[in-house]
Amino acid sequence: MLIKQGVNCQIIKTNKFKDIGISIRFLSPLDETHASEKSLLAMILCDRCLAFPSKKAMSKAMDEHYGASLNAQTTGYGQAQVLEIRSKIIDPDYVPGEHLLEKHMAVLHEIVFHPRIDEEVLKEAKEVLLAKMQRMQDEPSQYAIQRCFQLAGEKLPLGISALGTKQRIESIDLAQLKAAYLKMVEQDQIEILLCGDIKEQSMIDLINKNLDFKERKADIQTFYCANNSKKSERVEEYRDVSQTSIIMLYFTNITVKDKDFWKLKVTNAILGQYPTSFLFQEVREKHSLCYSIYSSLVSYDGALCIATGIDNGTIDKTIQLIEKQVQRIKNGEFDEALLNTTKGMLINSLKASKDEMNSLFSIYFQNTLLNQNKKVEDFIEAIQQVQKNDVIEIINHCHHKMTYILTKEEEHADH
Amino acid sequence: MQIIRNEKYKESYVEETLDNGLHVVLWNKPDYEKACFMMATPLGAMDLEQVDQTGKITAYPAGIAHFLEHKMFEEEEQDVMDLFSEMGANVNAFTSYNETAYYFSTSENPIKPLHLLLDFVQRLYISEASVEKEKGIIIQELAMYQQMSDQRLLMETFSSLFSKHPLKYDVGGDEASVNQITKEQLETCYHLNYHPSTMVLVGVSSMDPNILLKEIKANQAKKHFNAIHSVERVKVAEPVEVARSNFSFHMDVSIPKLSIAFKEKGIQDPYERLKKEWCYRILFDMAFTSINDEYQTWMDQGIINDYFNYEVDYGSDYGLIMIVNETNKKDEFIEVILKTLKDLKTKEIDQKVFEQLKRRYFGQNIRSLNSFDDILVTYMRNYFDQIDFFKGIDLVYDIKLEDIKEAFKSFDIDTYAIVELLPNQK
Repeated sequence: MLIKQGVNCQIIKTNKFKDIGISIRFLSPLDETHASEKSLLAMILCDRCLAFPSKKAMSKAMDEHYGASLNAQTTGYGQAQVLEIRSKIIDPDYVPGEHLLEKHMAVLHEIVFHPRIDEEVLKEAKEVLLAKMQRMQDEPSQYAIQRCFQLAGEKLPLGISALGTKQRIESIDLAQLKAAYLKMVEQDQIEILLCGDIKEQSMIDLINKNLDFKERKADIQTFYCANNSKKSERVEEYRDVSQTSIIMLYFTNITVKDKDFWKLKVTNAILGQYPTSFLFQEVREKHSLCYSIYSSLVSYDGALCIATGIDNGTIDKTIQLIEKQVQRIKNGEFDEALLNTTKGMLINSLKASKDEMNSLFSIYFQNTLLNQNKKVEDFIEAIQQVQKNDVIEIINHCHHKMTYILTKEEEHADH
Repeated sequence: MQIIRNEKYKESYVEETLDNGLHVVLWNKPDYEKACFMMATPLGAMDLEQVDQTGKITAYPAGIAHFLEHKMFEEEEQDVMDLFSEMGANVNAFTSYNETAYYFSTSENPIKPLHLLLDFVQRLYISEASVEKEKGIIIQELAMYQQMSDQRLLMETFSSLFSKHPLKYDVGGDEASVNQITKEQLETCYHLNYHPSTMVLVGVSSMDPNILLKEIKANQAKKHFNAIHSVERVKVAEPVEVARSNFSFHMDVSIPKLSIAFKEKGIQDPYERLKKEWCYRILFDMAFTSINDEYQTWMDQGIINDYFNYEVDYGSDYGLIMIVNETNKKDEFIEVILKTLKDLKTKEIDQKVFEQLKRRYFGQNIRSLNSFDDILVTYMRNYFDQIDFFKGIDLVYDIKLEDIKEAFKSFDIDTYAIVELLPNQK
């Protein structure tokens, strides 16, 4: 439901959950400067605000509301990025007469509209954010994925982390951050999602009262097809690791809105999403080369990513084996039984998403982003229609872009 | 069949112990698409030496429970994971120090996968070759954890605290112990620990519990289980002192991490144990989170950052409190921790803050009942400890200020280990 131009609200009414969730999402184009600013704002907004100026006061406010959860995060959606503030409170029925929802919406108003942005808060946010980023980089398997996206996604949104960059984060000053905040609340496209056992009209009244955003333009582009002139390549980098990470990235040439998207979903699942998949069965079960191996879609960028962790001495063997699995699908070397099992698994997880509030938020938000009004049943229908030939056709659309290897130098020199 | 209804949390389940001893619990969640079932045995990574009623002792290499978990997925005809997949169900398992659990979830009718869960857990099919083949996979799994800095810090901390207790080993053992494991050991371990009378089956679904129970009974009626001499873990005489008071190791990280861990005695009575854990949690939430005014000062001074956290864990024969942090100011951090803990011994507890925390836990407890996984795991763990589910949840509300003071009196502030994870020298 459009509240105002550029401000959309969706109420997901269900009495399944024991809590009520409120998700406020700010959507803007993704670039390195804005990503860093947004990332800092995500650190700051839920930490303190003018009404609750210390961490202690903020904790107290949340505890007053029975340990309400409150957090902010940034995520990339193709060419766009989202800063999300998400909060959950117990269903007010558990504490009748306390007007919990009303009180909590008023607290969220303070958090969104009266943040505490000053030198002290900025300094801490920078330190904590940089430490978080460093920590992610320190984990080889996470670093390898990030690094592969960065290299293969050169000059593309795929290559930009929604967390921002160290250099930019360090240089942002208070005036810039305040300006970024104002731009966010005044100009970003906004989506408000609510879920739980709520009365629609009284909820809308509460939103009008507490989340009264102004009108704004709403034409943010999200999905695209990653494509650049770079040739398919193999990159090897070194760190002191006990396990080698291999990341293989393919450009799919299919967007998340494409009618072929669900065919791609099935293709990816046959390749490496489930224990029945080619990658799991061959690389792990038959050849004992790894514990973890999977393929996944970077849907809004049109990319497919394979990731595994192996012994430092079996790099070439593993890569060849992975490539062979892709080739097997291209050759149509799979039976109807595997196709049907895979479709069944995808349908199973789609149905289960109706039982998770966060998944419901994602599905409803995607409808706004793709300007559609699809239900889980529509996706299930699309999956059911996928045929063997579709899978073969789709995998042939996927082009290998990069094989990224993070391994240990000395050991590798021995082979 | 017993029906348990809890009005406060608006939840209900039925439970029954079958003729063969299997305890079955069926939680009812109307309106949900998915169903989750878990079957578990109290065999965990700590069970490296077991004694039966006749006094016979069996010893295993470290990591046996975890190895067995991997091998359970093998069947004569087809891989168990494939069979679940064909039914539109996801199956998985985990091994902890105290238990091994197998579980599946599905949004389709759960009856077929439920039978499969019962069947594959109640049958071991392994060969010499398949045991050997599994070693490579498990060693890569261990290598994966070895390179996660948080995991390494945790493992090294356990190794620093304990010199005899099996907690000093990783859940999966290590490369050498995994390589030692034989088909015969796996079979012996299986027969001693996977008898229905030692196990529990917990399910959460929207399906009528009567229908489910009928299916489970029919499944069990077809099977015969020989009586076993029940086994228990051989108690180890763990010294009071820590194994290593100072230990450091290097990894390819950029900021040093460290833990300071206190060694405590175990607590035999499960309710007492749970109560002690809650008392400590309340105290530490007051002392080591933003509720404490000093928390912000520590942040400002760079003594702690958002990584700072603590953990309290008690068992019948062990107890530990572990505080982890990421900092370049190691000495200041240790000083702050020791001083804060010392002060806790004498300082009065603020009644208002205590009430504030109780509100927090109330909300968290309610919200945890949204999660099928939380229900399954909490029920299973409480069952093995013979703790009633809702009594376990509600225990925190009965805790009084005096209980917390009393609980902390025995805290031994001088028996601790420090473990440092340092960046590689470039």
